[in-house]
Amino acid sequence: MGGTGAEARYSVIEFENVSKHYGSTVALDDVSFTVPDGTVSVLIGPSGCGKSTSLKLVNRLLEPTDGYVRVDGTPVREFPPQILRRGIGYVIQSVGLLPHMTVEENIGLVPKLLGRHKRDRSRRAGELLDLIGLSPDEYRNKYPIQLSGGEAQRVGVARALAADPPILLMDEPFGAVDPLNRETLQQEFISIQRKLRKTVIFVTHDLDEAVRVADRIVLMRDGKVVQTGAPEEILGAPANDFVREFVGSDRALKRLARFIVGDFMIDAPSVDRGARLDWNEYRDFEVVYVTDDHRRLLGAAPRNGRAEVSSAGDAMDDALVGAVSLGSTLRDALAEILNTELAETPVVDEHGHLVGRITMTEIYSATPRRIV
Amino acid sequence: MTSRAIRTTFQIVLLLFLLLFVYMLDFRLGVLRLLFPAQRELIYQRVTLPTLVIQHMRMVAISSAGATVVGLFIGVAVTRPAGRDFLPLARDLSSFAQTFPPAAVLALAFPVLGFGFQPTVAALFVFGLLPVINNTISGIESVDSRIVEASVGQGMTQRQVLFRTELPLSARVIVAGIRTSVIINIGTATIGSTIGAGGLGTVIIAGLVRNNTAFVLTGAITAAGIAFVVDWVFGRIETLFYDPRERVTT
Amino acid sequence: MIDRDRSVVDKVILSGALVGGAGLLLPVFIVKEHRLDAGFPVSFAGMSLPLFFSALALLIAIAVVGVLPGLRRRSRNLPAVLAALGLFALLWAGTGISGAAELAEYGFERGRVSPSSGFWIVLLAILIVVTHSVKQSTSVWLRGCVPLAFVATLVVLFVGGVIDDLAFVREYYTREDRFVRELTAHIGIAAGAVAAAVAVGVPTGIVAYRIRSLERPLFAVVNGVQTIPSLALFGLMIAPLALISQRFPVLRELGIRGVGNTPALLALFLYALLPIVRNTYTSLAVMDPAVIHAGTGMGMTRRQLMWQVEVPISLPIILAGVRVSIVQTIGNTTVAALIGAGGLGNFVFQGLGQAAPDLIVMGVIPIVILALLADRIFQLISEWAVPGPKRGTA
Repeated sequence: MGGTGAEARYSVIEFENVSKHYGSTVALDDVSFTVPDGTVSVLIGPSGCGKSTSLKLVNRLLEPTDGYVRVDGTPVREFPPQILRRGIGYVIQSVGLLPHMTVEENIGLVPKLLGRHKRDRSRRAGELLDLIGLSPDEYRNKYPIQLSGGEAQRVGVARALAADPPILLMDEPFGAVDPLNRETLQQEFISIQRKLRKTVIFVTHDLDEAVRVADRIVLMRDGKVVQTGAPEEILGAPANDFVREFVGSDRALKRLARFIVGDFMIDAPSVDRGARLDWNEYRDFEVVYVTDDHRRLLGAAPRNGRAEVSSAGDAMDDALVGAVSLGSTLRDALAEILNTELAETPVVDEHGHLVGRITMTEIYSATPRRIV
Repeated sequence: MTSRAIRTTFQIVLLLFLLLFVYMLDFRLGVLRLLFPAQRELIYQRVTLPTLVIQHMRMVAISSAGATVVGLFIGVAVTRPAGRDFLPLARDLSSFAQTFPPAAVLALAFPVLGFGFQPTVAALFVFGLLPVINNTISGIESVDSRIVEASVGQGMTQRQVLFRTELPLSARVIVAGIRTSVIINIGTATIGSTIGAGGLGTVIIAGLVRNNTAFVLTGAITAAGIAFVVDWVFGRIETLFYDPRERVTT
Repeated sequence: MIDRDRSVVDKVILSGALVGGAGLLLPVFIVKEHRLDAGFPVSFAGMSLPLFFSALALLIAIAVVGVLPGLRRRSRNLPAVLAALGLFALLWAGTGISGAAELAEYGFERGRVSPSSGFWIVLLAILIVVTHSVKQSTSVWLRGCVPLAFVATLVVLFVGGVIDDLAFVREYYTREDRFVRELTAHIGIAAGAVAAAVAVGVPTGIVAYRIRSLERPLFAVVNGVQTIPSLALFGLMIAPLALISQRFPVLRELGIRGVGNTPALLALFLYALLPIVRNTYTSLAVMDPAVIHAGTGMGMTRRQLMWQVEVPISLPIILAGVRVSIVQTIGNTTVAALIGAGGLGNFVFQGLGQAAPDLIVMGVIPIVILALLADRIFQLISEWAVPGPKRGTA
């Protein structure tokens, strides 16, 4: 990111006893929570629970009836709204792009409001398009209508990042995108966030999404906060029946999505394609992986009663070549295990090199002993 | 492609014909003699045709310019938070007023303002306001509220939201309103000659009074031709602005 | 965002009351000794003080309804409308009665009472308050009955002879027979032109939709006609018809001449085409192909598909086009008087020619009422004659 995030800006968002009433309707009732610096907090709950309302209180699109919303200890109401908003990135569903402006003009919107020079805005737009994985030359001059849903959403994120704000507000940012693309966008968001370390409030109604992107989850219902905590905590120890029902009976499965394969994998036995495979050397293993000269995974050789000694290439069954990548979750690994005839799955890095394996033992080790 | 070429050719031919008809006396005389061989008096003598054209366009230009400025102002005012209470009223009153025939508005201006140029311009102004107000309101209202909210959320001021988001996105609809207003005014200005405002109606009315069809046709052809040309010009102007439907295909 | 229903002040009703207040201070009518007399103005206060204070009280009542805190907006509608109706009756009756008294006092036997700025401004105030209140209301009853109540009030005053001394009523009485004739002619010409336009316009719209290559040229012509100034179009009709009827005297026997009703009907017909063609086209273009598919899939015949699916879906849109067309035609028929056709335009242009504002007003009022009635009636037809959720019930 070319050092743009270098100046360490400290930014914490705090909600202190915040209420919001519309006439006699209570949208938010005494809500308090804190979003620590550089983390992602996901507000989630059934529709009408007040999650979007909370988000809009931060950039003063709405004003609280009671209580304080603070950024770095200063109540937001002390900032002029326009100045405040220019310092906070805001992403909503793809319709938020201005249809009469090109991608570059959309990304350059806030820098322009801040009076940045055209040349700087153009350069910045290029950097950001690179960051979100869209070719600047190709996309710069397109209009929003010419983008796919996923592309428009990426541009929306780029626009929010344009002025390098320390805070990002994301209101169901991937809601209008199909499930397949949504997952890719989530992965990209996670990797961007790992680089930029913004303070993010992320609103969604999709629990899988929340579990994937959140550092902390704030679970809301009827304008009240029901439970806050890391996703593992909420999935592992739901505070009450509502939470239990909300996270669903597959919460153990969801929880697995919190754990990265790289943190759990164990060493995988492997032989070179050209080498001899002697099962006596691999007495403790059900499977030995076969690689090429560069340790790239080619396939797996299962034990199942074949000759004790053979050429590795002959013993290999390349139908068993499925694998998960280092950055995948244990949930992906479990799915992969269930997909193959083996009781484990190999792990590869981004070049396809075999780096380890995951067995059911690792999966169990990440599962809380006692699931209530 | 070809239908566009045909149209452009047609427009150029008509424009040329109109210019010759208005500014070249011999040409006009030739055309009218061809149509009315029996008619002795073919050319209206009291005022020259170019003068009538200028009178006519002056009325239209002044009234439409005023209507555009005031209409835009009203349309923008009733879509601001402070004026929003008046929005349904503005819309209802302007569609109510549009059921008034233009001729009636002109006739009613006469008792108040008397004969001539002023009451005609005033009536044209009032009548020309309505399409501008209507289209400004519906243009601004049709801008997706989520786009407006996104603009506010990026930190635009009220003024910036208006000038950078709402007006650019509704410009095409607003220009269409101005176009309607100008075309209606070109038409109503023709009737203005009945209260002594001059303009192209003068020669038509003179023809009707004296039973001289050549006069009637002179005024009718010129007025219609001007209306066509102005309409095309506005059609072109409209295409300069953002069109939510057309960009889809690019 | 803002809780509108409970907002404290109804700015529109309040400003309506303020406009009315301004009207109270201006001259309500002008007493003239004869038709061309400049006359002298009389304001509400000049009529009688009780009248002035009653009008003031009604305006204050309207203003109070507008600012009363805690009042939900819906409960403001009825009192505001009733107060406005009272003011309406007061305005007309007061002008009529006190106008007659002034005439008698000055001995103007052939004198007349012309409504003046105050009269029109108070009327505008009433229009603001009523339009706003009726719009706010979701009750069909209120929306339907309020216009009726105002018309009925006026009819009662007129029949009761209360407003006989108003100038344009005088103008009416001096040419009652001709008025009926011109009114009938106006309606006849407008209705004839629109009927012809429907007969031609609906098939044209269908053709424009079905035959792609004809879409552009057809719309170019129909749009082009609308661009031509009305007087110019009437003029353009005169020339060819005059030539034709000179060649064929038989046609002249039939009434086809250069001037008169024939060119007027022809021009008005051409004008009326656009809204009908456009809306017919639109009604076909917006039809969801899935609906047609579903109908076909259920085994409907071509005829059943047309009558049970296509017509019900497109009818409201076409009716809306007819409505625009008829309102526009009623207005344009006024201009037709200039080429010797009948209609109420004759009074208007006669009034312009004689510099007689009262005659103009007498001609304009029925034209406006006709246009408004046609507009309302067609709105009601398209609202109720067509299946689907009704306004106010949805």
